Amino acid sequence: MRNPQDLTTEDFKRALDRRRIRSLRAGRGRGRFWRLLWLLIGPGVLVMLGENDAPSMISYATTGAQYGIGFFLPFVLLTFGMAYVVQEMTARIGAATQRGHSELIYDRFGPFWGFFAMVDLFLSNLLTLVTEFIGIRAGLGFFGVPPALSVLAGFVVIVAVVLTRRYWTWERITLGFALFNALFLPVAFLAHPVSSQVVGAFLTWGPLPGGWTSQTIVLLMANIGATVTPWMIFFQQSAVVDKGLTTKDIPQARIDTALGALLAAIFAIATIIAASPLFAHHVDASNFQGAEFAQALRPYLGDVGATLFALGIFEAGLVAAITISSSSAYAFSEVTRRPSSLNRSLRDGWPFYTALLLAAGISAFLVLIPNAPLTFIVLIVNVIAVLAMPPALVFLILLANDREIMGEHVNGPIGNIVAITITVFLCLVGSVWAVVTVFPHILPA
Amino acid sequence: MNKRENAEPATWVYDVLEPEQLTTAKRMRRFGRQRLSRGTLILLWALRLYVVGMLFVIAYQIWIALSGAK
Repeated sequence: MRNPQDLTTEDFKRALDRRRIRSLRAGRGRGRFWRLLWLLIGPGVLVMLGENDAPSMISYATTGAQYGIGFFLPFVLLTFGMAYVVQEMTARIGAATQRGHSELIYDRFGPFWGFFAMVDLFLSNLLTLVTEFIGIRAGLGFFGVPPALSVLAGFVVIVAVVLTRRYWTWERITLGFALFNALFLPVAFLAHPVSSQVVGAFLTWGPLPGGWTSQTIVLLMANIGATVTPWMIFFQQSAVVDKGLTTKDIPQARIDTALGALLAAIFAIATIIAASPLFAHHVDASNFQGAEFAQALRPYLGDVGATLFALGIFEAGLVAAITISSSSAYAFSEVTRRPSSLNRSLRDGWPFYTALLLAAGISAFLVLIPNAPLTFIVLIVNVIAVLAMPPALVFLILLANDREIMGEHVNGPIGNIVAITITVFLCLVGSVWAVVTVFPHILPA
Repeated sequence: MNKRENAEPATWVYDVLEPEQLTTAKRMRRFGRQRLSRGTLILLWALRLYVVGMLFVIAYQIWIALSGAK
């Protein structure tokens, strides 16, 4: 039934975006493919570069400082391959169902299982958001900005971006910020890596100095948690729906996700390489935070390298704070059946915007509490992400195989084999980590 | 959006958006409950126990770290 009075500002704004895409598809001319891609990319690149967040970049830097150039370079590439497989399913489900992930879990599996999924999401999101503000504080702290001012500046940027009340504008501004993740690339070149060593690492998956130790397992977990996490699933599916992508756009959504994974992998590997001088000079970086890395790298990378590194940590925290707080808000609004869109007016979408700003505000506040156990939060946040992933992946695989909602866009057999393999792999890595944690003498220290 | 588009009958919105993309459709149409097989339920419970077990391990790790820090 067509009743124009039922249309919301969300419909109008989304229709404006879709009209540009439709007219581009209908037309001819040079560069149509690239122009169409420009309009349709966003959620995939954002989710991948958003996941190159402050704790992730610190994990990569710790990896570079403790293991240098070797095994972890191809391993990080592999983890982003896994992230692509997971996120492609997410984008496809969003385009085929036009529903967010939380909403689908509640509708298809009921509130009992939905409740558990939400507890996993909100707990890991809150802790991760805290670490993003730690990153913002550490990054700006390098330049002498007081902690309270740094955190406030980060929060103000999130508020300003959200107040655009337009998904398209929000997405483009956040993408603009996310591109600064590339700052880690020049830092890697300033480390003057030996190219044959880098190529050799990819060809041989080595060296792994010291062999398999309990510390290797912890870093393995941290690096996996730096690429596949529950918030990514919830965020990308909701963002795909909010952007208005349809099943016709699935090929571009795949390119978007693959491009994001490739860029994020390159920047992550660059961070490992950037921190590798600390390994060569035997600097103990096991308890370093963002600013300490920048300080420690100054003698080897110079002022420019240290400054870019600190800016990169700030950017990583900021972009992730924007995307993860949005992920919490999407999930909250979908579960409570409220409007869940960045295209809504403040009056219609106030529960959504309130949830978003509360998620960011509470995390920002926690970072400023004196003597808060921030180091532990950074330590465990990626571990929690890995441990919470298997149940989230099972829900995702069930939805991607649900023909009633997915129609012809259900997972193929190869997609299922790869997705199940990833789930089993994450369970195994989590179990090995648990055994090594409880019985630390099983492996060399 | 401009004023002309607001004032006109908003048929262009219906032309551009797919029916399932309209907020009214999303509000009105809900996907029903999926019947979970016994195997799926066992898997979901097993993974829930896995997460709870891992939370204990994390708590243990934090306790060890705090003890070491004192």
